[in-house]
Amino acid sequence: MKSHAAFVYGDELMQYKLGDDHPFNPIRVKMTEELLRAVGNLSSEEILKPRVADDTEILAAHSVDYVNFIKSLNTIEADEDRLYGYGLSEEETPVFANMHEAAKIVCGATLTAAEAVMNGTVKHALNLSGGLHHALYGKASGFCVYNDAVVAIRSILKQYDIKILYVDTDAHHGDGVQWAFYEDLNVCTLSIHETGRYLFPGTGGITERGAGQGLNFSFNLPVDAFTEDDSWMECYEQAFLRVAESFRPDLILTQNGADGHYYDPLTHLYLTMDTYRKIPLLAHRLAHEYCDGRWVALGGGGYDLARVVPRAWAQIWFAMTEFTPSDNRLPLKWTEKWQKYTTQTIPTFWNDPHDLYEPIPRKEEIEYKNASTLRNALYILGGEEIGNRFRRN
Amino acid sequence: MLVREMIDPPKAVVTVTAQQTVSDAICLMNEHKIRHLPVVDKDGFLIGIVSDRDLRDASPSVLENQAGSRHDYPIMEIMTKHVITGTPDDFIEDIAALFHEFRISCLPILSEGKLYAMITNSDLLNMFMHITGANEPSSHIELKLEKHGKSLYGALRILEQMHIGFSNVLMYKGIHQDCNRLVIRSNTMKPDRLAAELRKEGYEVLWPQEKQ
Repeated sequence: MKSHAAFVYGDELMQYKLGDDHPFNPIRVKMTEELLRAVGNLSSEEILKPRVADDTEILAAHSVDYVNFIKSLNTIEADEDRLYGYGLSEEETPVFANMHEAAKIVCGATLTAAEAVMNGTVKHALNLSGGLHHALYGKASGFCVYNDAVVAIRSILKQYDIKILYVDTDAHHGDGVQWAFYEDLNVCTLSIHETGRYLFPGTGGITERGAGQGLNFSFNLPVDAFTEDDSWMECYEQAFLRVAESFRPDLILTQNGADGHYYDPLTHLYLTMDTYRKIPLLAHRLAHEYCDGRWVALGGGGYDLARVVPRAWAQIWFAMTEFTPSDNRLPLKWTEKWQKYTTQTIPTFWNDPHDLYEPIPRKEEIEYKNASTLRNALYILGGEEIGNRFRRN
Repeated sequence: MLVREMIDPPKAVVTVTAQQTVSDAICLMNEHKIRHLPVVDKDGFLIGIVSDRDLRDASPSVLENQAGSRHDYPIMEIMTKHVITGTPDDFIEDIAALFHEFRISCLPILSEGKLYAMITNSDLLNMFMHITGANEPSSHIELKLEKHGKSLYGALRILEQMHIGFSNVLMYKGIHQDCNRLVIRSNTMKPDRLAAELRKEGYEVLWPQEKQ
């Protein structure tokens, strides 16, 4: 492989589709792949074809009972009560054709990325179809059927004696991954998300710190609605830096949901492309600082398909390949193609305008509350004395 | 509910400075009947906290000769400097989790670094009482709602039809999680006719109980 980074992609990943009108749409991955090619930053040699996960690998993350039920949906129509019990419902996570197989392809793609990094083929690997972080041990949740990150981490830990840092910047709490490794001291999870007081799934408070041997190996930063770029970045940077410094990972796995953007219909964080440009840069830096470059990045949420997700996800690949587009405008042929499929206007530029939205009136209070949350969340890492930190000139 | 809504307006907070002594702090605690004192600098910024236990640990035993008393010790030497704090914009449910997780019984609330209020565990218990509506004149109606059975909406409609008001509604999962408990604080002194109507409509009424 010519590059030191791999982009996992194949059209079969489009099979994980919850419905035409469902907000979680795999077309985002295809749009991003085409955008990167259009800008001349992705070549066929850098593409890795995803393998399919086998049932044993899925069963390392999910109960036999649940996996059997998902499999059975190919042939049997289950009643509403049973579906509901397994986290499936028409409105949220509906049953779709070949769900078991499609979800196995997504897990396989994440395994492909993780294996390429672990066996030294590449330093960094990106699977944008992955990051299904809500899937739980015995049930589907929040558009996620099988938890590809848990499947991949379990598979790596079976082969290598290493420490893995999982960092989740989706606007929603990375609950499925957190609970899977809640008592595990080899996997440290850090999730920064819009507070569960407002947003699904409701968990991710700072007091969820792990249990048993895994106590103090789970970190959560629930930030307020209307957080905006500056305060969000302050929380992300401080938390990521200090957790990495104390945990000293051998591999960094990031979940890069792009649903915290101002345009996102489901959340209220008011982030802009500025944040989405900086998120992967820090992951890249710390992967080199602690892990000899080993970094696996996944996709996740992101429900403004045309205006946000491809632009935001392209930034991850830019960070992996240390690339900066020479033109501040998106490639015209890409924009023209995808504009036909959407009623929203695809932006002209990579970055957002400075007047994207009206200023938030409670900005100072929100920043102050987030700084307090950050301090309490990192309390166990020891730290500065109060007073000075909060003193403002 | 946010902290700033729970303590509106905030009460004045009793504080000490780091230079004051252990005996000053003991006097202040006794005078105001409190068990925690925030330590602030001259500009009102929080720099630490002392509890009655810190002060007891720093006091000589009653069995010893009082001559060796260290009551003149400055607070700076014994205060806790690494303090868990909250802000006026925190949700009270999040604050409650902090009390539980960090096993503390008092939380300084800071606004821009300055002390805004002190919240104690009894403030939280008081708020819990308020939320249950148990401190207002009203009658307790308690129903058991099975998973696919009668609804909250249906129960409240019966109250409306009978022109019975209510001050609180609290629904929570039963201990065994198999059903929901619905507690209504109704504004009636005669809840029996309401209970009878609810039973007639098929509700399982846990309280008031039927007279034998």
